Amino acid sequence: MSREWIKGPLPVLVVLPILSVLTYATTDMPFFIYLASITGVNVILAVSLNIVNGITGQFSIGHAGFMAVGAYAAGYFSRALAGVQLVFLPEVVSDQVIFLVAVVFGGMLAALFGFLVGLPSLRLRGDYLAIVTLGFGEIIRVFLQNTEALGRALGLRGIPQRSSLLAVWMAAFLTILVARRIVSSSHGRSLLAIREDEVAAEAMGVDTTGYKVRAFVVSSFFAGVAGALFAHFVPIINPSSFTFVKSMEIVVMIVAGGLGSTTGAVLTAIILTLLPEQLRTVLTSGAEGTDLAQRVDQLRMPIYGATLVALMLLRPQGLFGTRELWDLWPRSQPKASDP
Amino acid sequence: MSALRLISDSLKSNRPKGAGSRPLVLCLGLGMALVVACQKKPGEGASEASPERAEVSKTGAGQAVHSGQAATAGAGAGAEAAAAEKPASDSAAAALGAPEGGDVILLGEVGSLTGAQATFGISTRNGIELAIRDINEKGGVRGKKLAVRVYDNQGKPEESANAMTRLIAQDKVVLILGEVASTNSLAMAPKAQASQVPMISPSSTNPKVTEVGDYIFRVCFIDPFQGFVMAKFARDHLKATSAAILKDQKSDYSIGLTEVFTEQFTKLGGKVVSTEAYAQGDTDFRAQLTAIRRTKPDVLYIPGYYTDVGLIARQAKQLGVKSVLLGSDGWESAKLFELGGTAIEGSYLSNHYAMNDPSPAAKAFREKYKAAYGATPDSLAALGYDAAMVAADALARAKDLSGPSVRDAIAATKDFPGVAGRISLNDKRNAVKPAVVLKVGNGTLEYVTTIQPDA
Amino acid sequence: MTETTGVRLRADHVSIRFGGLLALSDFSLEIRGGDLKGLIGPNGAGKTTAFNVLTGVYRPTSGAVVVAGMRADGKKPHQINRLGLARTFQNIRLFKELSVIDNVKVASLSDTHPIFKPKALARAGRLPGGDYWRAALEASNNYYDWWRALLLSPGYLREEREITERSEAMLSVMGLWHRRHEVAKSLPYGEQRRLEIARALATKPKVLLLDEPAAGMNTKEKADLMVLIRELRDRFSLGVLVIEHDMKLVMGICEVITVLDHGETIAVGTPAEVRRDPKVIEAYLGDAFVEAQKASTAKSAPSEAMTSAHPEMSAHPEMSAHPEISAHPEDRSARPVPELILEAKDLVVSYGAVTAVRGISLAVRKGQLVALIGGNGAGKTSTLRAISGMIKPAGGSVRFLGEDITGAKAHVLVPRGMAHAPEGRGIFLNLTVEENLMLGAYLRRDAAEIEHDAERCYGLFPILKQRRRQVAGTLSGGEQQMLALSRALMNRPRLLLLDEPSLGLAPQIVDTIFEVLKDVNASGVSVLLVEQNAHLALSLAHVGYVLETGQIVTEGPGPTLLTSPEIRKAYLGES
Ligand SMILES: Nc1ncnc2c1ncn2[C@@H]1O[C@H](COP(=O)(O)OP(=O)(O)OP(=O)(O)O)[C@@H](O)[C@H]1O
Ligand SMILES: [Mg+2]
Repeated sequence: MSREWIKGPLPVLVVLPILSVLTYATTDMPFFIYLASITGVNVILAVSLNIVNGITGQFSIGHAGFMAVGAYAAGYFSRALAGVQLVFLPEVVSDQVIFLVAVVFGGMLAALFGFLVGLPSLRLRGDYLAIVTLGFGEIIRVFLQNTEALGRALGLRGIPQRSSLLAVWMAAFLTILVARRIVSSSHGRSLLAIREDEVAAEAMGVDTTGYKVRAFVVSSFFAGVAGALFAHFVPIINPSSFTFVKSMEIVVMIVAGGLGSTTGAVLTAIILTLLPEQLRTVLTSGAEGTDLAQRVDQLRMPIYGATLVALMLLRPQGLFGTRELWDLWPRSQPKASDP
Repeated sequence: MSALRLISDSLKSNRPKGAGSRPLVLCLGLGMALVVACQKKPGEGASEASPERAEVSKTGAGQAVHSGQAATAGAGAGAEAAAAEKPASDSAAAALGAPEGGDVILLGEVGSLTGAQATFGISTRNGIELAIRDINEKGGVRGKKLAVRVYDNQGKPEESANAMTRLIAQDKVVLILGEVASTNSLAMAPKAQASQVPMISPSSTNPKVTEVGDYIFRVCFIDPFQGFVMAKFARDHLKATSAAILKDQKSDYSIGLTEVFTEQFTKLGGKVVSTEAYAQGDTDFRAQLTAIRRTKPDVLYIPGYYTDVGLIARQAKQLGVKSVLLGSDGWESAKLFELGGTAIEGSYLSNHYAMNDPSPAAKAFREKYKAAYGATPDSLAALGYDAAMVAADALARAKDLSGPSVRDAIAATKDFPGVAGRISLNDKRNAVKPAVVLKVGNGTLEYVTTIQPDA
Repeated sequence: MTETTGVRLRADHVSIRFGGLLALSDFSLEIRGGDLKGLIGPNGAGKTTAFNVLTGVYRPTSGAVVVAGMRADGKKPHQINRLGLARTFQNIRLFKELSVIDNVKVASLSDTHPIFKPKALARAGRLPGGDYWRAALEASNNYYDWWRALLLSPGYLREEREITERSEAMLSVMGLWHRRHEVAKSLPYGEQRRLEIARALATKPKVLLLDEPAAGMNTKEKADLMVLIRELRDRFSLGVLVIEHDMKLVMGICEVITVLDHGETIAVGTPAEVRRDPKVIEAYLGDAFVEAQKASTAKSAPSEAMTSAHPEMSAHPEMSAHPEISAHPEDRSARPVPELILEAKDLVVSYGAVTAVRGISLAVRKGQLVALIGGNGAGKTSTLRAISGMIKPAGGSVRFLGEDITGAKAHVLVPRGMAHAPEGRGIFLNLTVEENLMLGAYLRRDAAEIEHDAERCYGLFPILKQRRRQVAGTLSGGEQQMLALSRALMNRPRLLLLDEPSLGLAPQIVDTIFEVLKDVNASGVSVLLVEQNAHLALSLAHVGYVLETGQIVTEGPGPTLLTSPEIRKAYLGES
């Protein structure tokens, strides 16, 4: 009891130094950092979408829209404050504080949009959410494409590149932690109940609309955070990065990982992000300096697609089904039938 | 009323008030503290010192001033300042140095080989490949063969940045070629700039691309130059005295071309009698066309995309607009003939390169290309070829293969004989080169003439 | 307000209309603490609809519902639940993929959460619009502070422990504690029903509504359930309202019974009064029941006396009207052995670590009706599923019409003449009645015959004809059951696998269904029947198999089994 309070922050206290060391050790590996950042962003997106699609059993297909909101909001914010420094703080620290605020701001704005989009559509059962989120994603994109201040189709440039491995992966870790803690709380049980049977959940006193909206808002928040981080390491953000295709990529990640499985989402997000990059290495190896090296790179995407098809044929329920990584070890089967 | 109730319902947390508002108060307090703590950065100059800010101001400048092929000196200075301000903070640049060893010089290319813009990327890649083959057949550069590592970006900026980082950090290429789409080039340019690896874009025409910094070049003219070309063509060849313009008010490209055309046409003694606007995707242009018809212009300039132009041409014909239609490279597409039908025939458009340009260099290129790929090269292939050729030429001239030396060599490119016209790079690192004017026939684009930039 | 003190649930002249159908009209009811009332009526009478209106699933067209002194109609189900009204569902609606304990935890509330403090409630009550605020407060008392959950604050952990403890205690009460880590869907039917009750109780209701809690239970389990319901009522001083088609149960435990027919309340009274009411007899109980009742009142120990005299007649007196049913099998069992239709050998079925069927061998011959009986979780349903290809057996073999079909999928077997009407019905809920029937015949090409068969089904179950354009999902439980059976028949199978066809049917309809079965069987269709109503099944069967924990313990001709004392004791609820 007395030392219980440590349980809450403990994972963060453990991971923070590890990530810091990692970040420090890899400062002169720009490609690793870039790849890790993209991967981290995809992990955040997949895990957060899994809260809605996997755990709550709703079907959102406009996650890229919320990511766009976060990216543009944070990007715009950071760019506007690029020449500003906080008193009493050295420049680097001040930049990071502003960056943090920008990320939170991006997340909050995305969460607000999540609330506005989710409230009307989640009150109804069925596929309304899919339709509304699809529409939302497109509206956001068209809006961005036509807004002068946000750079139209060309995109928003000149966002200070303040992201780091630490920032991205800390955010990814927090997202995972939040998702896991939600699932294992009473709150998460209510979400799972909604997924299993909405009518029954409602009859057992679960405020289904309220819970669905909250889950959706949390999910949107993290999508916004992912977008905000994205905006701080990609030199230009552009509406074409947040299309329906992007939304579907995230859906594919969580379906392939097993709807409802957080670790599945993390794992597939990592694999599916790195796979094309890995293929690049494999495909160009041994073709040094020949014409072949110039020809094979476009094979990556078909191979990537084929891999997905194969996965879904072999494991239609996704990598882990609804279970988590640790459920796969036999030890955690306390069941059998004890007489 | 019910909406209010709804919102309150779903927000309901019903915790005792004090506890519930505590986090909120905390957040607000923190936010306010941050706002109070804000100030200008101490090292910050009056306006342009930070690269980001310079960028912002350039956006304004780029749009406000259009004086033909060269943008304003003010904006140029801004870019230079930006480049100077942040020299290689990235330690990768230091590691890069001059990879003189080995028997190949490795170049990088980023292009959209898959995705919606795959045809652009593939044409460009073919052009570059052909150039590299030609160079290697003639013994390579500095006694070494050239090789190109090509990465696909699926037409996405974040993938472009990724491929760029990989080329620079992993493959340690000497120079980078790409991209077609300005957005992708803009995603790549800061990476090149930061690591001091020169980058040559074959065909990104947006003025902002080379404004990123002094390591970014292009071998094509920038958008507004086409306005200049068409104005000159209309005055000198068509002897037009009055012109009307129908612009796409949603596109920077269209607006830019319109401004330069107006300025140049007026300067050459013509008169722009009316300027109407539409928005991309509109389907009814009758109102604008009727207004234009009333002014009876000799030519009607439509700097837009083929998707709209086809319809505009048809409706103009229906309304009996007699003016000659003039356009830009946005018209270039096989779809144009389908959409415009006979209404579009007899119009003129400006472009980088003509498929039936009679000059010997262009002819030779066409034959080689056809032999290698079984198709007639389009302008993207020609520009890709030119980009690689300019790169090889600069590498040969450079004092060594380090980034700054190669950059200096590229910047010194003068009167380079490209298949799509002679290329000289100006102080804005944009190519100063001629454009071609094509006439729309029945399903074909015929070469009419070449318009030289003002000296 | 003018509430009588102690009234926890009151329905005041409630009516509801679905399009042209007046599903419930002028329904009134009062439940106080400690009340145990019943709601009966034929299939489609509006009983479940009444529950749905009381719990807020539907908003009544007119009338008022008052729960704990507050107007409840128009409130959402979760708000009404928070006012102290909990229910179970006729067609079990557990959170299937969650563990047993999680099912209960979802419904468990935290007492220590600040909003439970009576002071807070009182304060809310004094606010303008006090009722609303108080309801809002109560309605969201399952709301869990996200932040505390994310930060794992000690208070949160304590509450979480309490919830676990309370849920485990609840499971112990319901005898499900040893199953707490199993996935809900893997429980046998009877235990799923008990879990539903446990889950409803976890919401700490003041009134509990049970929709056919005994459906799918055998006689013995029903007897246990009766005891349990009474116990729960006393222990938690609950008000209980039960819908049930099992007259023994309803008459046995309820103090007052309301009888519905076509949405109208046709009688209210004590079991004895209702039983005698001619309107109730006509609409619901049927003459058979009355005759049996007369017989039973004539003798002091009704069922025992009856069954010993006539093995075919039973505690289910409605059967006595049709003595020929039980006479049938004996006639035919004398004939030479007909060809084998289905043969299962050493069938094994496992769900993960749990083995449900451990080496069952059985045979169905042409024209035979074979019954599988056994307690909850004996493996009857799993056996049927393994045979019809819904699950893959872990071992053993199945032969159908002389071919090995072990592990073959249902879509291969259906064209060959095997039809399975699964437990839980398995009808297409979003299609109309008519479309469901036509899908049953989608492999057939004889349009005229199909039409004829459809008409025959409508003839058997006239209510289906009335509802032919209605979406199956909105049918009453009994109507769905009729539809499932009809659909299986539309397939004109050679072998019919039936899982609990009498589930949720009114006594009269049970009669009808078994008569239909008899006819179908007589026309040459072999039937493999799983039925909790062991007496009914065995009296009809040529061959019976008795299952226990996944193994066959006894087999033999139906009538013989019926007279065996052990079986009478184990499955027919006799002592
Ligand atoms: N949402 C609905 N739309 C249309 N009709 C409905 C709806 N819900 C129920 N009904 C009809 O109302 C009637 C009453 O249904 P209800 O479920 O209350 O019957 P029940 O008394 O519970 O019967 P059972 O004993 O078979 O469960 C049925 O005929 C049903 O078809
Ligand atoms: Mg019912």
